[in-house]
Amino acid sequence: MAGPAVFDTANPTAGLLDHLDERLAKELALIAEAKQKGQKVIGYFCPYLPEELILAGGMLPVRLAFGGELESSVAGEEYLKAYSCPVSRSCVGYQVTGTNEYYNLVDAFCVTQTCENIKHVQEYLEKRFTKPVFRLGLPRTCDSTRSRPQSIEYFKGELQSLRAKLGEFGGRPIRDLDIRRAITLCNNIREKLRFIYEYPDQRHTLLDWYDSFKITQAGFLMNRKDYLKELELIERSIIGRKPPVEADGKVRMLLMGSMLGIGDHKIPDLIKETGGKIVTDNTCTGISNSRKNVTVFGIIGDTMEALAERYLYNVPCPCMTDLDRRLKRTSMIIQDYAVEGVIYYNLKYCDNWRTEYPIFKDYLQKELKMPILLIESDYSPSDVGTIRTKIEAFIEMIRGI
Amino acid sequence: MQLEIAAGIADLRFDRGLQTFPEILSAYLDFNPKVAQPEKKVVANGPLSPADIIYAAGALPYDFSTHQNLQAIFSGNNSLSQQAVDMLVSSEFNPWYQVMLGAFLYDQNQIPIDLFSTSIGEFDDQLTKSFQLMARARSRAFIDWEVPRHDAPSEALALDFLKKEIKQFILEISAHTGHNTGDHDLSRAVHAGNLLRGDMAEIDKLLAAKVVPLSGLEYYLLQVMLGDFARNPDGLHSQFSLLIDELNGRVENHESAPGIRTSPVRVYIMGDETQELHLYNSIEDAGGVLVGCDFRMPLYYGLVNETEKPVDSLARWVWNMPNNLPLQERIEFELLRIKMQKPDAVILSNVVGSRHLTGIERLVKDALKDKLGIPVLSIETTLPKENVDKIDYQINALMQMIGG
Repeated sequence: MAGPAVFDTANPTAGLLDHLDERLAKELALIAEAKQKGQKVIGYFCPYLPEELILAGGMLPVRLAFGGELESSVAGEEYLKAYSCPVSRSCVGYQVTGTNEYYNLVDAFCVTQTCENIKHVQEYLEKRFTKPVFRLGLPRTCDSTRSRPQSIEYFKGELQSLRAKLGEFGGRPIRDLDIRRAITLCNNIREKLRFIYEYPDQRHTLLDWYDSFKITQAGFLMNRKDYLKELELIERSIIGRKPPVEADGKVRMLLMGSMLGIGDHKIPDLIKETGGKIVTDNTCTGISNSRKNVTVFGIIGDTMEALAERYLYNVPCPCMTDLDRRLKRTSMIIQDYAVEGVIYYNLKYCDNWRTEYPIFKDYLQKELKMPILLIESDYSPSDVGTIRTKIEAFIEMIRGI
Repeated sequence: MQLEIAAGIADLRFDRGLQTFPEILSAYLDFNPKVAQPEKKVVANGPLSPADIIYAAGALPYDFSTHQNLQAIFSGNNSLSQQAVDMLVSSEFNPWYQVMLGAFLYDQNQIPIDLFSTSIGEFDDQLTKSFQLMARARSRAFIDWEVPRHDAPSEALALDFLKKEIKQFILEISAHTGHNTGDHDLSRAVHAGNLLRGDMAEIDKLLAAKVVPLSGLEYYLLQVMLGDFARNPDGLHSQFSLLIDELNGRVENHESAPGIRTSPVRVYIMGDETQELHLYNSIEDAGGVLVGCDFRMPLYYGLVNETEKPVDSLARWVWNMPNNLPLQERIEFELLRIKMQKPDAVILSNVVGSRHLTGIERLVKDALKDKLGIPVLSIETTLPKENVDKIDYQINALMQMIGG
């Protein structure tokens, strides 16, 4: 494997992700090749699904967290109404149009029961398309104080059931030993990602959030063993390099809210163009993926218990009722990353995030005196001008202009 | 509220021939539990969450969303939805919840709420989050309980989980009411609920008859009132019984409800609960009759088994509620219900902002056409009185098509 480009002191991040980009460009061909050799590809949508189970079954997990394409979301309207969220419409739209090669390569879907929109996606996939769909029930009333032991019992049972179904689909039962190996692999990936995400924690960064986010999303698609190698390569390249010390004068932003899919650049790009800088995120496709390891009990003890514990009690999505934990977590991120303003990104018709906006606004303004801006959008480019103006005004307000 | 002079319903036609119905409706609209039973805690309850458990725990389960909305519709208060948007609620929300939130966040709800509670499942995210928002805004407790997904192979696991959720829910509500809730309380509440569920099943049977003795508007409103135990459910059952007697009297006399023509086109409605109450009149004005409606059917789709432990039977009943069934099972269940009512057409109701049907309308429509071979009309409504002309036009077109 070739190393990254030669280090350029004037431009320290130059070439850092070239190797990853090159590898990612080959991914579709590699998946197709693996399929020809009999390996199955499992597509899933939501980070509550432990991909360790897919890996342990000898299959390839692909997180289908795509977004930002107007065409696919419009195509989805053939089945889903225009007032379902663009993510769900796109999920169906990609199946309708056949334009997303990753969707085309998937042999089966795993769908976690998170919100009504995703439930409808699952119903359509089951009813209209021929690929198997495995459902995973998610207890949404659990809380971080573990006041409801029945939640984890139930989730563990659901995972057992999924394990059995995946084993059957993959042609062999999924052994504990294989799950332990998969846990080790995924834990290693999470550790490397945490290292990468820690960089924006500094005032002056080598790898900015945009790079970190890109790296994270590459991991949704790539063969996980190869992905770990890429992360190790990036880590080795980063260590020892010092970021530029001069301040860039940009407003440090937290981007939080609805799923920011692979390809959904509109808001991050606008923030960059208008003089802001995302330094961290609170989205299900970003930093939260790597937040927590499966405990050592996953490797030496009850694998399913440990998986259930990690996935159920990771950063809660707003589909979960544990609002306090979301608020505290956001508050912690804001402090850790010296955030100066929050962009609350809400994909239209994403009800779970949208309903919490007044609560977040009230909480952040009262507790942290933190300015927050709601951006409601979809995958259409028609609102770019309006959003740009809003973000510009928000940045000016933060700067006190 | 004096129905005769209620501003919001001046254009609606009620069945003036019924003695009992106006009493039930007035009592429902004017009800204030803080006057009737001031010592009781009022628990705002989701429209499709069974009230039995809260009632057993010594509290008053109150369907806040529906009551607040109907009060607004009847009194002609059209401003609550915009008020909600002014309070940062999404303008893309289901109007039922916009109105509820608008009233609550502007302190215009007439009934003070002590705590919020709802079941949480693969349905109605907006309601759950709205309740959570309101509870937080006024520092009230929000108590939830989970209904796990319905999947036959995982029945034992799901029911075990659900039983534990119900038991914990009872404990949490009881902690607020100070009531030591036991199996006996739950059995009594289930029995009271079963009487009401039985009443509604009885009314459905009457609608399946050739001569339909009840108008659509009254039928819909009865379904709504059935689920609200805030008033004494025993008293409500007595009133329902009187009403059923009245309706049976009409059946014996081969007398249909006023406004229903001879040999009407039989219409079944399913989907999202609409605020456009004119729909029910429109069907009859165009020569139709409503013979069934599934808006609240999950609350009375069957009786809770009273012969086994109440938590066990409630858990099974809740898990099998039609709104918790996977799509295919739900469609099959609905088809059975629809066939019993012998409709000539089905109206599929969509409410802009609701997510219930957004994803499945087409699947449901196709299934209905395939399996029943009768016309299916999709309608889409928003806030009350904003859809009258469109609905009239669509309903008339449907009736003309069926009529020849």
